[in-house]
Amino acid sequence: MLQSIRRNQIAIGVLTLAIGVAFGFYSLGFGSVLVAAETWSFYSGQLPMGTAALLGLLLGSLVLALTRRGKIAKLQSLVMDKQAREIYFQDRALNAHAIVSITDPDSKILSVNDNFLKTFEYERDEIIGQTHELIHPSPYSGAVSVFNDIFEAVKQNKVWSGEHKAITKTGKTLFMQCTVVPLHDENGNHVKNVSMRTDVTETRLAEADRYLTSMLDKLQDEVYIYNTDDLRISYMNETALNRCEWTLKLARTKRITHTASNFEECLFRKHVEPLFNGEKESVVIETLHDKGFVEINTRLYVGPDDVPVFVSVLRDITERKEVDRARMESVSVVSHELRTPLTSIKGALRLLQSGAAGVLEPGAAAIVDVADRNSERLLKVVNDILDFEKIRAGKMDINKRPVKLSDFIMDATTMNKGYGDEHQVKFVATGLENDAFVSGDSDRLMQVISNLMSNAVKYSPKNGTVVVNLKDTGRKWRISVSDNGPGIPESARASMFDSFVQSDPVDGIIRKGTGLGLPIAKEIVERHAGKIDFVSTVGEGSTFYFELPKIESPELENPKDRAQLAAE
Amino acid sequence: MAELQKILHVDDDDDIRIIAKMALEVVGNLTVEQCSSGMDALEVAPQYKPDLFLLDVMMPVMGGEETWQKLRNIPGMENVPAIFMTAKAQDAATGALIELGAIAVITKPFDPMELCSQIRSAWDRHQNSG
Repeated sequence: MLQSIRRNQIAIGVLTLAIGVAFGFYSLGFGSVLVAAETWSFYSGQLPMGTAALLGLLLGSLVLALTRRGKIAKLQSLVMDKQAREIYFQDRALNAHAIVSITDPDSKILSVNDNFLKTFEYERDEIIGQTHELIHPSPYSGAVSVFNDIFEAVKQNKVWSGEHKAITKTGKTLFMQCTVVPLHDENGNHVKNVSMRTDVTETRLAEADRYLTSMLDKLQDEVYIYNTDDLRISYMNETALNRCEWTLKLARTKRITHTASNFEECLFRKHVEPLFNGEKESVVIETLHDKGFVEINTRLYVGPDDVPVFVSVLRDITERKEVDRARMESVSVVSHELRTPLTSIKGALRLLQSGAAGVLEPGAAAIVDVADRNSERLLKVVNDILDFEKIRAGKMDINKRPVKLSDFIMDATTMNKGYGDEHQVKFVATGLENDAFVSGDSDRLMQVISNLMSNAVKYSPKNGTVVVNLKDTGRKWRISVSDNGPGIPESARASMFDSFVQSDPVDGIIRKGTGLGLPIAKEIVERHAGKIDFVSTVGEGSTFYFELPKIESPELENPKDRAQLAAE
Repeated sequence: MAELQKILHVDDDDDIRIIAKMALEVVGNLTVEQCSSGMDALEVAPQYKPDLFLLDVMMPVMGGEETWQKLRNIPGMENVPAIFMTAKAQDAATGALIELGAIAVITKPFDPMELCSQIRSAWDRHQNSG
């Protein structure tokens, strides 16, 4: 408002100047007439030329001065009337346009205009007597409250001008351009504050929108915003538009299904289901798009107009896939290079142990045993790292077939007997029900149970017993492996299934291992829609278990399956 | 049912050939001829007339799969079964070899004391399935 007053003053100034200039020309014309009269007198010969000219000039100036004074006074009064009228109109316009409120020096509201009520959604009697604190959102901790800022300024007789966030009765956030002027009486006492506000929310939001859009446009990822009902596109960023070779205008006539030739709507609907029932905040899928591998991350948002929209960010992962593939390839080569010499070492040691190359002296046999154990350990490390890399690259294949758990557990105890004997620990299998079946990759599941069994052996006391139990838990079968070892403190639980983590043993004895066994086991179990966990009491022992979904007892009639099972 | 007697073993690694020979001959009482490359095998096979091929998968120049394809093209060798040995242990690769018609895939490192029985059980299964 101050600004507009200033503008009016300038306008009045310009007007006055224009009038002044016009007057100047008018008096100039008047003077010329006088000069002409004098010229005439000169030619009549009554006065000498210089005197006549001087007289004429004097006369002209006098008339001019008199006339100018009168005209200016008249014009000035006209301008004053106009200014008063303008102020009146300005008042009306201000009231119609701005949000005006008047408070006492303590910020208690004395009166507000209709705009104020409309904007902040209050009834007049709800707001009169309250303070302006009502429309100021509580500041974030540590931030200076705008309300206090204004309060301090007007107290010191300063005009406060600036932008602030305001909040309506129903909690809507608005942006306000605001000027607060303190008013004083003739004795200089601070009596009132006049606050004038303009709602600049839309401008601010549009600016924020433009800012965001310009950022989104420069992203390397493709961004799509589309309606959840009909999948109509409302926004695509530049990267997305470029790939589709569309303009934004054209895109707004399309549905998201038009963005890829292999888009299957029903699969998509299934994919985004967890967003609606609150199961997940975002869903991610890797897929082969028209131009290579992409990862699509989709979220559900409710826009400012309460219309739910999907926001999908599509990232080109062709390069990442290539890196993964190359990495997997090199891991596979390294694995091959390590396993080949290990084949000879282990083979030679086994032949020595067996006496196939001549019977060994007891001392020599003991040394060969040491070498054999350690080559076995080295092989385990190589296998674990390879498995771990497979998991990382998402390349671990799980070939599910029906697995009869009683046989599976018996096989596991047979397979791990050697390791148990070495540590003087025996296995006992309990609860072996005959018709307990799960669908699984028996090699991979054997890896899981062997890992749990060898861990149990490692932590068991000499002459200890490890119990492998099968239990029906309703919809799942639980296979548990219990030891009487030192137990696991609760503090170690969080990192138990993390890679390369070996918990500090409570008994201070460090056991050998890569720290990859449990994370691999966890991955395998989870790939079987199962779960793995443990219970433990320090000083008494630990029970690690995994649960797998039950299946009906199958008919193993397929000869190929039988052949495969036999080959395994 | 034909008895398994003669095996042609192809592996480029000298040491593994020593271990395998001992495992098959001393432990398993089989007769073994060995080659260090697929090319050698193509020359030896027609005269040796093995009952079974035992092939390493990853060999330079000519891999196990290619060697087997070529061996099967030799007249009289069309029906000689093959068992592959691999140190790669890629689940998918094993499946692919079985699809190709291999009667078994043995992963390295193998246990020399078990190698012969592994081969014999695959052989028996193959004979039974005709």
